[in-house]
Amino acid sequence: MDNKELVEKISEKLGRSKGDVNKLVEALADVIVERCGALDSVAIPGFGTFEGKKKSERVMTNPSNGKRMLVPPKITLSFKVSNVLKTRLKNNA
Amino acid sequence: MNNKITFPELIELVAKKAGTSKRVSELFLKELFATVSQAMAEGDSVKIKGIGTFKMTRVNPRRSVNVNTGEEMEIPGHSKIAFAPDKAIADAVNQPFAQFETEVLGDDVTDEELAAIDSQPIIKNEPMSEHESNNTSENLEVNDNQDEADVQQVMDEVVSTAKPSATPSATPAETPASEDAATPPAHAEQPAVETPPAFVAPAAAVDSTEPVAQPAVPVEDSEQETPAQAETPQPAQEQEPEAPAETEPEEEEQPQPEAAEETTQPEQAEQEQPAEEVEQEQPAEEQPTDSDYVDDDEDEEDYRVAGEREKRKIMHRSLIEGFLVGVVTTIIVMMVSFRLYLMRDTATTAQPAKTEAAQPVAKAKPAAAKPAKPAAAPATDTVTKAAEPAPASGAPAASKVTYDTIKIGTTLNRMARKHYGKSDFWVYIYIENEAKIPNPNNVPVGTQLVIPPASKYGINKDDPASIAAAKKKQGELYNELFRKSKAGVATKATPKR
Repeated sequence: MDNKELVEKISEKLGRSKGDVNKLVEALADVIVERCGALDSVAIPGFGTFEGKKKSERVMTNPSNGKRMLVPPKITLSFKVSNVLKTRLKNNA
Repeated sequence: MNNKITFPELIELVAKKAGTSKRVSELFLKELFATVSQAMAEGDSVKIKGIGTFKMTRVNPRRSVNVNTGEEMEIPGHSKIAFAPDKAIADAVNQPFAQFETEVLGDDVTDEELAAIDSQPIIKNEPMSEHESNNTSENLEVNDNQDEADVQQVMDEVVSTAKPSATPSATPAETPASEDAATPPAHAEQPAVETPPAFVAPAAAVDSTEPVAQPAVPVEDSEQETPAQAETPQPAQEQEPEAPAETEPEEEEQPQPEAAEETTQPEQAEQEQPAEEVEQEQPAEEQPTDSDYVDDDEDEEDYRVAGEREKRKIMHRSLIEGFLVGVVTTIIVMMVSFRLYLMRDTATTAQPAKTEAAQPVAKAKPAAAKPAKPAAAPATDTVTKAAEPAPASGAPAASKVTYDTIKIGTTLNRMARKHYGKSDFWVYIYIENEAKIPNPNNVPVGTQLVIPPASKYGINKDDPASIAAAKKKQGELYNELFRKSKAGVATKATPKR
């Protein structure tokens, strides 16, 4: 299911326009960026947790030419599936 | 940092961002995640634009050993969710570190050196310190506004009767220029108004032969006079530092006829003092000795009082001198910048609206002194905009400099690439805006930055030496930041949220 279908489905269920839903999705993305950029986590019950994780810088070696490189630190967005959803999917499969 | 945003909080945040009610955002969020989990339960993958893709991946059954019993067992195959963030959101989350690039290490770098660098917690505290300094800068702003309000209050209270010229400078135009214009008179008044009562008390006590009421009256008179006197030279000076000679003779005449009255005479000389000092420093230095001699002849007890006055005078003088120097420098800087602006008036600038705003800043100064100038009224709007960049960059830069605003996804790095063609030069943008950027790794969205002209720092993207210089600057900068963050760790309080 791609974004279009998803928005369509939600707008149908909520009885709101697709523009409204798109705006809300954007707002959600903004909130996640803002919070996870500050290394907070955003928890959604029954679904999972979005988390900003800081990876510290490291030295890595390029396997093909043996050159060492300093990889900068970064913050990545990670998602941890909640146990509720996990078990639900497990049972389904 | 490391705070957990709960669902109710998320609902509120989303509602605020989208400008909808909480009920709508709650329904939406519930529906969204229900739909996504529903789709995934059906084995579908879901892509949400701007967030990422949730995918089902199949985990094959595998053999393992029960750690407790040592028995062999098989973990059954199952599905699990994999989340791949969108490129856009990954970049946005990583924005604090976006300007770093992978660097190839030379062969001369040893492992020990690397280990030493690793042990330095340069970046660890950064998101934290960013919020803190944000808070402090907000506080500072509030303080500034309060100060301004205070100054205005003082102006209104003391000067409302004295002079019309004071009122335009008290107008709410929040320019650095008018702020400057507002402060010196206010401060010039404060010593003038505060001191007389203090001097009246000892003077009245010593000269018990004279009725108390009699000295009190002239003192009041001179009290009202002094703010006016202190003020008149001030605006005049703002226009031309050499001008105030005109007001001087007037004042010197006044104390002489009143010299017959013993108590008022030194006081008069005294109050005249700050006023004159505001004008010029040299004649002021001769003044105190004169009045001392008068005191000496009068009474020995007066001499002690005069000694105290002397001390106060010196204090006042140093205060006023400081202001004088500040005012003169600002005026000169303003004049120079205005001249420069006029010179390159016809030249094209990247953002004419912004540079135009620089003009009223320069204008606001004379406007504050001359209420009749109509320029003051339209100026205030544009001036408030210009107020932000002007104080940090300094006036001379304001006239020949372009601006850029940090947006979501913009970094100093990208800004440098845009303006100079090479991202390494971001360090100069940072240096130029140091006051506004608490942390170069995370510049708050909406910050308006001054982009210095390439010539100022010898920026040339084709010149390897110039790039190398920029990189060296970066190294120095990070060392400094590291030292700061180390010093800040001790006093660090837990940030909000």
